[in-house]
Amino acid sequence: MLSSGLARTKNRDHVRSDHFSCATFEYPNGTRVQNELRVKAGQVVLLEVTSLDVIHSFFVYDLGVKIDANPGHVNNYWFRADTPGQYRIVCAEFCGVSHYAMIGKLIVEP
Amino acid sequence: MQVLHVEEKERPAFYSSLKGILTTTHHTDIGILYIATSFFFFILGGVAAMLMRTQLTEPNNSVVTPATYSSLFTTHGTTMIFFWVIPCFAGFANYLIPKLIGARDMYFPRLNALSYWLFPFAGAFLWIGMPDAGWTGYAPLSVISQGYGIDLWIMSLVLVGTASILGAINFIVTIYKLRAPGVMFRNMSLFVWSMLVTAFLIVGATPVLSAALIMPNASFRQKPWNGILPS
Repeated sequence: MLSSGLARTKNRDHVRSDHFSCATFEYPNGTRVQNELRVKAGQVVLLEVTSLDVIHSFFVYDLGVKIDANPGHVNNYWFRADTPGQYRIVCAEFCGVSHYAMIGKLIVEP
Repeated sequence: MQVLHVEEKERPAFYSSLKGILTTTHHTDIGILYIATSFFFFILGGVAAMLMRTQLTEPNNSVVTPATYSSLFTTHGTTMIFFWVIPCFAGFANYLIPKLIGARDMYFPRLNALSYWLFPFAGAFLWIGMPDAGWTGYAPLSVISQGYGIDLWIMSLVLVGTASILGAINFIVTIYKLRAPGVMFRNMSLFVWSMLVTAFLIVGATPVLSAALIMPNASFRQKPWNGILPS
């Protein structure tokens, strides 16, 4: 899935009909996954973060990754996860009633 | 030699009658009213904070719904900034500045009363509306937020901003024009200095805030009369 040394990962937030916001990750080969981001340990990853409705923020506390997702604008963020494991991705910018439920998973594969 | 005696008549306390409260323009009365009203809003904001902390005592608690929780922290934040910190300082400034510079009253006493009376009504707007977009009100969310909460929040902040601007102009003019002989800027009390600088900051910044609040309300928010009245 992430064969090249540089993973271009797109993170798109969108609202479904029940007003639950979630994150869609689009990989360089076009694969789209909901709420789950898989990267390889030690690999440099470029996130291109944007939003389809209101301002969100892509936040991985354990890795110190925090980048706002603004509608109509793409923010870039580089990060590298060295320790394999599971990390929690949360939304760090109040985005509506379901803000508390906007949680994703970052899986760092060895 | 004739000695002129001026009888100092004891003024009845302004809060002894409703008419006294509604019509007073004296700076100490306005200052006390400011501090009392802002303390009332402080208690309201504190109750909102207590509700939120009760919700957070354990995970997956259900004291309040997520929508109510959003309303609570938005109203709490706005109340504590615009209806407690700022008016309480305005109250102390009203009470102390004329005394510290040796003036009998503020330069514009009736304008002072107006800037006080705008403020409790602005607070009522906020607490009736219970907005839910965060006290920062970032644009896409505050524009698409349903209901009249955000509209009342915007009107409330424009009103309280107007009150701040009028009060700040009053402080500036009072400090420049009504200093007693011998009270210079170089020996003026530090509190008066700090309120003078704050007043200049308010005059510079609050009109910008009001304009930025009016813009989304006037042009982007859905109104109840959209589609009924011709635009």
